[in-house]
Amino acid sequence: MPQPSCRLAIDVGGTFTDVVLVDDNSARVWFAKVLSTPDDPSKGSLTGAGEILQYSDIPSSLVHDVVHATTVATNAVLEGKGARTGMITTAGFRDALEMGREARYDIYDLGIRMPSPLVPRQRRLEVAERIDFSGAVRTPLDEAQVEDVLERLVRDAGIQSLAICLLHGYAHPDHEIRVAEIAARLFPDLTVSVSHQVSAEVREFERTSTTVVDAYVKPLVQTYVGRLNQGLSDLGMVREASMMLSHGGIGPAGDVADTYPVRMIESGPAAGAIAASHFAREALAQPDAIAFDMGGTTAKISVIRDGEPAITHEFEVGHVHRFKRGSGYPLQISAIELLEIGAGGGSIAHVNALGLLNVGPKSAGAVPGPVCYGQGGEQPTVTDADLLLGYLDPEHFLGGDMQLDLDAVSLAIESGIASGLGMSVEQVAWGIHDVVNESMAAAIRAHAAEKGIDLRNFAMIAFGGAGPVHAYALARKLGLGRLLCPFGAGVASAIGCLAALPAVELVNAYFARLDAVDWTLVAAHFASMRQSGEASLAKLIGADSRLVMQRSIDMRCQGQGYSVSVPVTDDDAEISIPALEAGFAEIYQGVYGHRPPDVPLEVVGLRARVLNPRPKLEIKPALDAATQGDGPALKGKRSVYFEAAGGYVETAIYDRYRLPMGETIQGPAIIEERETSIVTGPDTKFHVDAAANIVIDFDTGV
Amino acid sequence: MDTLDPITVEVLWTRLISVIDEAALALHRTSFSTVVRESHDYTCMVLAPDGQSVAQATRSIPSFIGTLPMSVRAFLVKYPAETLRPGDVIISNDPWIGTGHLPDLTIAAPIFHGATLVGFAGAIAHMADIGGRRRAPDNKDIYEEGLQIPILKLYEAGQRNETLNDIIRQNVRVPDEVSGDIHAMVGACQRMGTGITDLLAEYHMADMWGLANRITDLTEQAMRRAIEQIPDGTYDSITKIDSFDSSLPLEMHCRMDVRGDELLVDFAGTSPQNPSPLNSVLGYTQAYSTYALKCVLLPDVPNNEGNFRPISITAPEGCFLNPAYPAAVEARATVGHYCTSAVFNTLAKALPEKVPAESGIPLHGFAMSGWNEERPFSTIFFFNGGQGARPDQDGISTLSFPTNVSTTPVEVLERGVPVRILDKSYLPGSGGTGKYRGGLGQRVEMEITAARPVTLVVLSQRLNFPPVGRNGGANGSLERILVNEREVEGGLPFRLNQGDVITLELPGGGGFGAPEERSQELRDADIRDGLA
Repeated sequence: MPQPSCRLAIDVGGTFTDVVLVDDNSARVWFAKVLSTPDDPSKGSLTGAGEILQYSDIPSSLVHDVVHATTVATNAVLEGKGARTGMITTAGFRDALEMGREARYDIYDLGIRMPSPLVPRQRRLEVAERIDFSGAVRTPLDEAQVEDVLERLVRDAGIQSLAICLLHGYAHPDHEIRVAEIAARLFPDLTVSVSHQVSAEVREFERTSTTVVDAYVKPLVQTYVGRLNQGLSDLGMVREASMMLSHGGIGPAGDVADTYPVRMIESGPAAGAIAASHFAREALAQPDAIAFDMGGTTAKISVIRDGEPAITHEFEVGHVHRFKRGSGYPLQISAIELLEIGAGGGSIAHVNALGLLNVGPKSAGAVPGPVCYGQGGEQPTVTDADLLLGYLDPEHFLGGDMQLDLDAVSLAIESGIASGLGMSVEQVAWGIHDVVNESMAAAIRAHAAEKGIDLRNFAMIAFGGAGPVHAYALARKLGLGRLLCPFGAGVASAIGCLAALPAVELVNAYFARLDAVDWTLVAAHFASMRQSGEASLAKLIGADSRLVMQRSIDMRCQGQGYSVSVPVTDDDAEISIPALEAGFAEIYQGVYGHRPPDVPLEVVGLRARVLNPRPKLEIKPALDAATQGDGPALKGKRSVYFEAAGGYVETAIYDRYRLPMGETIQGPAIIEERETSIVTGPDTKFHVDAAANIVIDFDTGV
Repeated sequence: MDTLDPITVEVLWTRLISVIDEAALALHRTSFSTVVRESHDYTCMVLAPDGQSVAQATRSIPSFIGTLPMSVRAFLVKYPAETLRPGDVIISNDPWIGTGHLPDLTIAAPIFHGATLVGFAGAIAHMADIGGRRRAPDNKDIYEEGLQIPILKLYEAGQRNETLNDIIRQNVRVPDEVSGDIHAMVGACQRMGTGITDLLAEYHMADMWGLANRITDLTEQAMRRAIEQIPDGTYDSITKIDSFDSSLPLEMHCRMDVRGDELLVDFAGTSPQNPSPLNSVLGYTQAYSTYALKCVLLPDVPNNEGNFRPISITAPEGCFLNPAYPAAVEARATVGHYCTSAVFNTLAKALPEKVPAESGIPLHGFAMSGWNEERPFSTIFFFNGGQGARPDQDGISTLSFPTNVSTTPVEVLERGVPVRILDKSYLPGSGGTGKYRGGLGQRVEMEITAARPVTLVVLSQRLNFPPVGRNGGANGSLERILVNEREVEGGLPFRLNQGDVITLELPGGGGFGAPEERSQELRDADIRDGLA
């Protein structure tokens, strides 16, 4: 019997569940798409897994790993369908969850709304106890009161899940542990989330919010993972599934569900960013890129530097106002940093109160959809404009499954917008495309400023249904030089599951002026981080695996509030103050310009990422019958609008699956594939690389 | 390119704001003062060559609206446009041409496109220190409040003015932080300059006038349309607030004349200039008055000079809303924030269904100093009252207004300051009842844990005058201060010892509409959640 060499990835999205199977020996790969089953998402997952095994003729015994990404936790929060949850906290602090930080996310909006707390006030109960920041017990835990409060929450309020969040519990968890023990003794069926286990970080509001979200999704996630593992076992798989986590690493699904399910809340988008990082590493000489995923209602952006996605340690879910920071539930956990913008193919164009053309934030959604779908949509959308500009083929949308109504679009734009503005339908169509791109560009520029990156050195990697349609004009606006449309973009998140590594992120606080650092202590910190990282990865991949540690030191000018991570080698002897000074100055210069003169530097933290550098994912496309079939790649020509050409020009239309590798072709061009169209202008050249990615280069020198 | 079409204007306007937001983010992240970082007490702006504001950073706080144009116009009087060169940076902290108190520095740098002056990049930020007797309620004039920097060039053609730099460093308690913040502001202005010249080059524009005029004209027209919706007439109100001496309350007389598409606010009759730092210079008074109008009339349009053209805000010289030099002015926020109340109370008579009830403003909190074990400390931290009920929904509990200051987490506070917070909860019943209830205030109970006595000033207000309800809605609650369970007055500093407990009860917002009209559903929710 051959050694199992195959891995399976399942990504559950809102509409489709994507499945990818790869044989790591041959690099052969199979894709499948099945409809998602929102009522019980494990059904769709198992159907997809069954189908791909049958279709590839790979016996389940050869599959040694199943990696899973799912939106089940996010959706529970967005749709308010989580468990009935209660909370126990320190006397005097039941309202911390609802008070938040007391600031407004929009300074002019008097009608501002805040997300309603996932645990309402009557289910947030207090117990007498107090441990101070130094660990001294100021008030002993009143255990009788704990029992009483638990009785009220479970018997009277009927909670299914409990969050325990005591003041200073991040550092001194004794009382939290005791409350959890009492809960387990009295109510063994209750699921419990404890703040120091979920997020051991200072700041009571953010930690409580994180713990409450964890408790809120836990019963649902446990049920889901249980069904999934049972189903996989029924299919003959021996190993339980791994789960894609928000920070881009993977962990055992059962453990994640039982200990801290909140860490998989951005599972799907994280997998997409990991896929983009994989494509960047494989296809770009310098893997710095903006990953751009544009769908029907939103666009998601992540920044990839040196082949790795940017990580954040605080983000929000469940925004009540246009993805605005401050209008969601804050989470204090590591996650791949995603910028989400309310701009998609369905975004509706309109004339605002000032008489200017605006796009969004309203979306036509799937129903009624854009005007061109002919399902009752009357307001022109981004997709409608894209059709009029020639970017989409009215005859071959979704591979020909849907006919698009061009005349209805002209009429809607004329009567709804163009006549009012005194402009032509074509001008307005380009205006819609341009305005939505500019608002995405603005968001990306601000994000880049925050991350301190010079966009001109970045490439763009486009996926999602509308991503490749808008990427060319967007990249042009941002001054990027290269655009990559990867092969397999339609199932990018599933590919990301296969590219993800078992990894642990660690951070230790350490404060000292750079000239007063105790380097022996720093070495001891790093050694203990290594130990703890290795121990936690051993559970996933065995103790004998070869692990590497990437290290960096967070530094800032003394008195500043934000730090810069300066990478250091994995050798304590090589760390030197001049090298750190130089490294800091270089990064600071790139981000903000000259560092302030006369201000000393200080160290504020030590970071490490322990990971298992297993062989990289290799996939060989173009093996399938669907790709590189017979016939010419050039399908025909049609009139397409390009700003760089000053209007409509005859443009070659190519079939992506028939383009030969290596040959360089001059734009403009439309390259059609089943799920999307790649648009590229007259100021570009493109070629298909060895991995079947389409690489578009802007002509240099204006 | 004189006639920009409506699509190009939208694209360029979005781009312009993104250039400024980018610079503002860089300023935020490279700043040293916690007031900038935690309270967002800064702004960035692009102005036309004549000083009119074209666009400003999205996250700006209200007090800086309108003050930068005033500063740049004053800069231009001293340094006429034709004398400016690339690399010049002009600075001042004169409260009367700027933001109303000395800790805020205002700087502006000319932007040149080729040889043409196309505008100014401006920045304001609150410094960690500016010398003087900090936050002392008994400061009698501005000379006691710190270093005054007249209009000067901080950089001349790219060369730093070392004399000025040395004088500033010598006069502040934390010179490195202050130089660092100034450095960050200059960097932000350079970033805006580059962004603007890139934009002009990309769109083949010789200058910004075409765009600036379109943006401000469109905004002005929208504001005029909004003012036209207000019935013509004269409306007035009197708003009473506490001074540091509770026997001497201050009165704000606010009259509003609405004629067609123009609106005039006048504060004639307002109490005279205060002998304490409770004085708001005219620019600050105008900033918060205009802010209140914009929130009600035109919240969705990005801010620029066009908003102000149809609006005029005046106050007679010598009143505490337009004090004369050399008045002490550092606590201008404590009184100036009430301009929003005065404007709401007046505007409500014209638009009774649109104006929310009063909020539990202004900022409340503690300024504390003493010894934390063997190290001296000096700090200030804030808590917020409740938002006034809105015409269509309850007010939000414990929400910063009209400024936008986050509260410090208790776990962070207790690590840095020798105190223990024993309680930080909603204050049930503090929100004025009504069809819609005012947001709740909060109760903060704090124990002193320092071994040696500490000095504590309560930033207090509303001890005698509650946030008013609207349209039959009840008033919110009053503020109360208790030391060891005994009610006391604010104003003067307290000496507190280890184990002393000080309690602050912050006002809830006023209610909106008659309490009888409150829906059964909302009443039930209040009872269930223990908020009534």
